[in-house]
Amino acid sequence: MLRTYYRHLSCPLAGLLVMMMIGACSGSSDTNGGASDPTAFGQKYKLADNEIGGWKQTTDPTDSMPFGVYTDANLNNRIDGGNEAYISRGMRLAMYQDMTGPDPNICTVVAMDFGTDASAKAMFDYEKGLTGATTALPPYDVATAIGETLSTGVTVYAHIKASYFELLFDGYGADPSAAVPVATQFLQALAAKTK
Amino acid sequence: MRADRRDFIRLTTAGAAAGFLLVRSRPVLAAWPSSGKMAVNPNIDNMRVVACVDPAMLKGTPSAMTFAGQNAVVDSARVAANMDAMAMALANATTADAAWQAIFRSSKPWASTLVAIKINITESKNMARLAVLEKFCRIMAGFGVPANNIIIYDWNTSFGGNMSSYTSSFSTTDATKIPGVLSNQNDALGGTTSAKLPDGSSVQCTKQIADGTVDILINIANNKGHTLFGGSTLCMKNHFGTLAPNHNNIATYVSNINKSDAILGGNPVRQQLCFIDSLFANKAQNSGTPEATPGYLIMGTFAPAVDYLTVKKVREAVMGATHDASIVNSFMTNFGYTTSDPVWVLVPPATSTNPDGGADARTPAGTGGSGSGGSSTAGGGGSRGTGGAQAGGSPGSGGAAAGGRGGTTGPGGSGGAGVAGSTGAGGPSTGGRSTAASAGGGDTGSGGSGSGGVLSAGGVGSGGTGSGGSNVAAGGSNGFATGGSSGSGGARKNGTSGGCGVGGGVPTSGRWATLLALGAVAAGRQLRRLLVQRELLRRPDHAPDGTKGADIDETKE
Repeated sequence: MLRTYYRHLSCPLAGLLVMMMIGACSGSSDTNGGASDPTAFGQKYKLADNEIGGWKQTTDPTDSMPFGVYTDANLNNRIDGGNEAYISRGMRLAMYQDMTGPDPNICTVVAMDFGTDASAKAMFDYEKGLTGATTALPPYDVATAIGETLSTGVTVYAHIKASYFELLFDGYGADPSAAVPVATQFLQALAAKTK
Repeated sequence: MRADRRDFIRLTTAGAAAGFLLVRSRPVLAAWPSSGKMAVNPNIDNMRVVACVDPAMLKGTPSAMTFAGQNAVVDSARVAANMDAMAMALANATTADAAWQAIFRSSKPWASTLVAIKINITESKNMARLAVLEKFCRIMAGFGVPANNIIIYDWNTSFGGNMSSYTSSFSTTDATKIPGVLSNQNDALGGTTSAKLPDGSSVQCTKQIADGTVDILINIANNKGHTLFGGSTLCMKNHFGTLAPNHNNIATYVSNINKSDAILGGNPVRQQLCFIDSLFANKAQNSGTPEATPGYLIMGTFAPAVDYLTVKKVREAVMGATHDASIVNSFMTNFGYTTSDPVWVLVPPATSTNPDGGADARTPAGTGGSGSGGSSTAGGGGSRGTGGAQAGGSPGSGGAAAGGRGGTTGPGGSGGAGVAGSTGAGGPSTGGRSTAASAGGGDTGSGGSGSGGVLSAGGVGSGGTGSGGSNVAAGGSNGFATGGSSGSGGARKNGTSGGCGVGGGVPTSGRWATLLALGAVAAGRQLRRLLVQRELLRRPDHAPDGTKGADIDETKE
């Protein structure tokens, strides 16, 4: 009887414990370096100069926002009304960093925290469908990362855990496909920061 | 007694008319009517939307899809010429000057007219290209509007920094730059005030547009997608930045602001032209790298019709974008129209860099350049010509004929030459038309000569008009010729030599050079008149009887 009581008691307790663990694991602080802290999130994903060989954060004076971190409350400051597509799918934090590589190559790096793997994947699937992107970025599976080849570069969409990424490579008018291996380098650097 | 009564009636009528005008000039009373419709321009159907697609407006693929990269490959002379052709089709006018004067109207003398040009600077990679802005600013300057009264603005607190991309190209004092004022936000238009919308609500609005100080409002949008508003953001939504943005119930809000007095008030109506620079376009979003290069320019007087047909004819038909049809249809139905009302008028690319004949007299010129077109063997590419003069008077390297195009022996174009610092008159040539001139000139200069008229399937003889140089930096080395499609005269396949343009370009220094240049200008103008006449005969839409042109594709949606 007593054992039965404990068994009854232990089940809810165990369940509660499991729920607490799940909550802790899915919490943004573990996966994204403190999703509630924009500064920490920005620093986590910010690429240092030459972290990717030959690439630095842009110093172009016409670029008024080479680096910025945004929440769902002010993402419109970066992408105007386009923010709805991200916010409605669970975006919580976003880092934008404009990079300059070997002239004339440039790239805008976007890292976003979506809170859950599923939300990040939903964002990826949305963009993949919207753009019709088909360019593979080996070794990544096309269900994880995919690119849209443009006339002057490639735009990459990817999701890793609860993080979602966009990489906008430009300045490859002579050979847009040359942006793909560079994009893979960037993606690997961001993936390493996601762990 | 009767005379007194007549006088009374006359006076009261005049008084009423004057009063009506006064009342109409006050901004708060005029807006899109709650029932029925209003004509934005009494001489132009609201439903008429004119477009031009011309790959030659781009001289190549940008090295990067940046503001600088895009503008580096835009052929500004070509863009200006196509805009002239579009204006003529929109206003059903026989000259570009007449067309622009029909489109842009002011109740004030031009010297005191205030012009506001709304651009969209949300995405630095897809903002109004310099060539488009330059054309509008020079039209206004040509009318006599002071540069200080031409205000380019976007009240966009988040992206205001992108305006700096234009800074080096504009000036109110330097004639070599585009005349106009780049406003920080809407500061140059008095900042912000409250404006009424048709539903009675109030919204923050650019002050001098809300209070009616602005006489002419030109709406220049870019072709972009959007998460909201049915999947596009074009002219109507471009007024997020004239008035406060509001993404809640966006379709109704956008409709309301576009019916507001701020936009459609005034007499003449304030917003007189809606233009979409669709040379490059964002297919999916309103930000990011443009995925498409449609090469279209689109314009009309009525934003809903311009937007609706841009969605249907360019975004969907050309770019393959998809939209929420119910919202897109509401562009028209919210204003009492049906989706079958708008008329799409596809204007062929201009047959010269100035369809009106000759160079734009308002364009401050550099020195006319010229180049002799390359010769070619049958089917072979043209070789680089020589000649051409830069502003500094030193010969530039000549234009090159387009490779691989055989042509007939086109009589050389006797090009007009500009005189340094003055108007460069574009010289017509008797060769085929040339784009991107062969030498000399300069972005602001015209003059020069045409180069050889060539077509891949045999060149044409005399006919086309040539245009001046547009490539200062390279001394015209990038010049190339495209087919002289407007030429009449003997055509011959497998011609043995490429058409050549004979330069009228001269160094700017020296009296002889000047005399030569002036002589070339005179000759050019005379030839131009002849060509214009010929053009009128060739294009029935420009015929004296006003009948529609066979080469203009006009379709009712």
